[in-house]
Amino acid sequence: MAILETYNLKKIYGSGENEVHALDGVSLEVEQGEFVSIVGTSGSGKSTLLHMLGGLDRPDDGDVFVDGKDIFSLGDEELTIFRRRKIGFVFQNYNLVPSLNVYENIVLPIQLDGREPDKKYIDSIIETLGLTEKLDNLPNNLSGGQQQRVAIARALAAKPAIILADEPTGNLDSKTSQDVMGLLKITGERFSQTIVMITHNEEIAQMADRIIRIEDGKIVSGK
Amino acid sequence: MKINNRKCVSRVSIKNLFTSKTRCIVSVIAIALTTILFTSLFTILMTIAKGFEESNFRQVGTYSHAEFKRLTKEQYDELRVDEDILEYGLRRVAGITAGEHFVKDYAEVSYMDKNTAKWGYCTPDTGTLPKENTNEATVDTKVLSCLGIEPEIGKSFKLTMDIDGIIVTEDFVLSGWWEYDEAAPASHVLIPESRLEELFTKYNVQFNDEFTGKYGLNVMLKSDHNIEEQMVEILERHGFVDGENSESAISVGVNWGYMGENLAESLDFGSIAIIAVILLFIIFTGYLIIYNIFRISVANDIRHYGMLKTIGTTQTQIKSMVQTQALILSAIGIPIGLIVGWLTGSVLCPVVMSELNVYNSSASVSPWIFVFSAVFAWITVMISCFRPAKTAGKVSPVEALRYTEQASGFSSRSGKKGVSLFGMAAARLTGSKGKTALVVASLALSIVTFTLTFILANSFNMEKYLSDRIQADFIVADSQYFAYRWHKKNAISLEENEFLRYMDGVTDSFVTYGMPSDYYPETYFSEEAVREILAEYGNEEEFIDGYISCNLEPDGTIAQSVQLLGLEDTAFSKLKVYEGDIAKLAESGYIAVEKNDYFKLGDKLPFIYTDKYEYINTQTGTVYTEFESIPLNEYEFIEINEETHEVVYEVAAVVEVPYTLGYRFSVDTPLFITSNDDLFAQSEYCKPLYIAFDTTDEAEAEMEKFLADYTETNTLRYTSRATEEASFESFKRMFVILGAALSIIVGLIGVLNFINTMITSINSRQREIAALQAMGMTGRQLCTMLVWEGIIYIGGSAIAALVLNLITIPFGNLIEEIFWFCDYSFTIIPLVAAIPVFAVMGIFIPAIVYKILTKKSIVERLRENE
Repeated sequence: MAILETYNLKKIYGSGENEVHALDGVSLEVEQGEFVSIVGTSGSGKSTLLHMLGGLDRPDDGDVFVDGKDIFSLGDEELTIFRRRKIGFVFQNYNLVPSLNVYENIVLPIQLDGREPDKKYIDSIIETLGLTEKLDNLPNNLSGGQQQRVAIARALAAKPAIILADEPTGNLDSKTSQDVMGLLKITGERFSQTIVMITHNEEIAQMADRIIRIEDGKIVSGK
Repeated sequence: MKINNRKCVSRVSIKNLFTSKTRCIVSVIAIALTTILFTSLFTILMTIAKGFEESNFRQVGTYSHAEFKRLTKEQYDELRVDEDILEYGLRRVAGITAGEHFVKDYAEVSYMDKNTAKWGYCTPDTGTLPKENTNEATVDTKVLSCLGIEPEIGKSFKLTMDIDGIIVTEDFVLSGWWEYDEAAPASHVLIPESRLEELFTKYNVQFNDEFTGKYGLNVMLKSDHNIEEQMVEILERHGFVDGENSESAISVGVNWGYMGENLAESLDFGSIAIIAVILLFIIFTGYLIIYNIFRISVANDIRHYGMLKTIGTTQTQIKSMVQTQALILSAIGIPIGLIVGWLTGSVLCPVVMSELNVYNSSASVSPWIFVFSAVFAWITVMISCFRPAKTAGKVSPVEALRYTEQASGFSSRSGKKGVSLFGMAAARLTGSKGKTALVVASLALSIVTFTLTFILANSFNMEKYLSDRIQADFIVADSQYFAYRWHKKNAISLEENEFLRYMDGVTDSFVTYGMPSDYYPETYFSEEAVREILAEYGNEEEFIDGYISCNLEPDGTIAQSVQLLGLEDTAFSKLKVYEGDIAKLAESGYIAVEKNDYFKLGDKLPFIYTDKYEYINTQTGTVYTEFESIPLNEYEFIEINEETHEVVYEVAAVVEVPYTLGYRFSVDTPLFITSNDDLFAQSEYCKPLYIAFDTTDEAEAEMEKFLADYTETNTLRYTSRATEEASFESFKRMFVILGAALSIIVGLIGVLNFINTMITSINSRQREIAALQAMGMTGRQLCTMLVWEGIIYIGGSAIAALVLNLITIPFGNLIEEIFWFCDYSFTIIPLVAAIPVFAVMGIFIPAIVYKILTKKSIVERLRENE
């Protein structure tokens, strides 16, 4: 079953001579539990696509269905709520809340939703990601790799339908990148998560089940 | 090696500065507000100083720097063109008024040119100065009232004058008049020079006295320092000497207003301490916001500085970049502050001046106001940007890239419960303690200023004030008595005013007599006492030794003059008696003394009263037996106690004379009190100070009305319950207005600091906030979190203000000591009242910032700083 579907997504920036077709009719499907990487050069439209998938940005045309729901039929506040229940984000620059400790960062999306964290589940994520010793730390005292592990834990915490990762290893050295990717893949499998990751790094992309290539706002392969 | 990179450094710092418009505006406002505080303070201080000076000049009768006296026409023409004389004016005296209209008072009849008239406060309010070759005259209103003529241009009148001993009566036409100033030393009739010459010819004046017809050259010099030396220098350049007794001697009169009591000298330690505290308070207030702004901006720009370092900018250069920014911002903010501050100060001045016993002049425009204010504002800015500049300079290029504001010493925080929106807000604020503390302190300061003003104004106890001030329902005296300048000239006239005691409704009454300071009796003090007194009044050890050795009696005592007050029996009960029996004063040979360190109950004190004086002109050697017979233009004489007698008193009581019943000014020796009868018996020089009386309750209002009208027509003034209430209210009002003005400006600074911190902190967290939104924080939740931050700031400030207020409680006694009519009563009402205002701000500002923030889409903000 497709957990994520898009139909003919279009996004145009600017107008007239400066018109840029960031997305030019992108349609794709991602199955439940699949690990997909989207690769493309800088400016290819991969980030725009990810933002559309996560409902952070609205397309000029086309639809996105997450878990069967047409997300752009939702109002802004509903969409936000939908996002915190169904989508987990992992950003290139981690984007942890610097004033909250590791544990607080991890459970933040759940608490924003007004729910109590599933303690057993959270503990197992923390253990899997090797963060048990670091729970009281503030993000600034963690290395980049550690911070990204916290970000992954946070993305998983709300048991979303899909995890969207935007260049998750972009700020990490290659050794750490491998570690983080390994953990991302393992946790994805262990907690049967669907992961869509964008990257421009071929080597990293290779770790996914499927690679979608995007150029000039169009999918050129891997659909 | 010296490399000229100054230009490059400033260019980079200017470019960087203008990348953030908000920061520029906020810093300029902050610097301007701080400058406003300094400038208003200095404007008020300088206006008070000006008022002091003006009062002196009014007493001297001119503000010209000095005068070359009694010149011939040739000397006048030679001296007036001297290069060191900036401006000059001529005055020639014809004589003084005489005749039936001028029995009590007289006026000088003279020619003054425009400058002299202007400097001498003789510029007509209505009409013009007399024109040459006419029989016009310009006079002050006192002359008008003496002559009993209506002020009307063109009105002709007759004036009797004494011109060099010749009594003449002449016709004049009124060409203008000005308001007579009570403080002025003389009243004036101004006539044209042509008329002056005409009079001299007509009456064949022989110029027997020293001043008739002589040329008085009033001058303005290049500076008002060392006036005397400058004058002597001018004389010497023209081959004259300073003095009186030779052919080439010219007498110089220096305006003592430029040397006499000025504000700087009349400031005691307490006043200086208060001014210092206010200055420190302003510096601190300014520091809180300016430092915070620079701190935040350096933190925000840290990557920029790191980058500059990477490409080879030195620590000193980066430091100077931050300082250059401060300089540019100050160059805009300080001038704005100077202008607005001066305007604020000049609005506040009248409120302050009306409470002081100085001439109520308009706000000073002294350049020093702007110099001092600018310097203090600049110092505040420099202190404030010192640390941020250092931080920016020290940044390591590598760390700059990782630098976030959170680096505040915390490495971990325990807690596994997760957090609420409030918790997130609290975590953020406690995470950057420094910034939070600065904002909280800034806001708390304004609340404290406001509450303290309120508490103090509320503590002013009118009953306490009145119980001390009101010793009689009405006290009538000459206006100079109430202005602390009582002397024999303005003693109240009993013939004219004693009827007040016998008016309907008057129950009790008494007249108190005083001795003019020229006639103070003397008594013997111990050497130690004199040393102590002289030292207390700031005299040098050397002077004291000299003074003592000159005046020491063989028995080791020194005679000093003392103030003496003569009270009627009925007034004895008004004194506060510490020891002894005041009633004994009714018998002869007893005296009371105000509580002091030098005399005690039972002391037997010989008093020396002078019965006859002689005055010797030190220049001419002429002896005058009557003070009144000394010619007007002779000032330098010594006074000899020609005949004296001694009375021995026993101190029968140690008392305190209520302020309103005494002289209203004190001298360096204690005040003695004797009975009216005794004072009459001992000295013919005693004069009535005032008439005091009580009325029945029914008659009080009537009397108030009568006195208000009665004192309109003469130089008398009165105090009553109503006037004292009004003066209390007016003092309180001054306090409230100043406090309110201070609170408002400090409040603006606090609010600006708060707004700036909110805006910058939310701005610098754009990406963090966007990420929160991406992971599902709704707009409402986000807004709530930001509002919590605002509320925590406000709550923290309220608590800090409360604590600071509580700290002031122990100082309540001190306040009661400074303001004796204060009943310090602590209250948190103003605090409670201020909270809602601040709370509304704490809610709305974050909400508004949120609106602005969310104008940019999440995606845009996520890309920020990448």
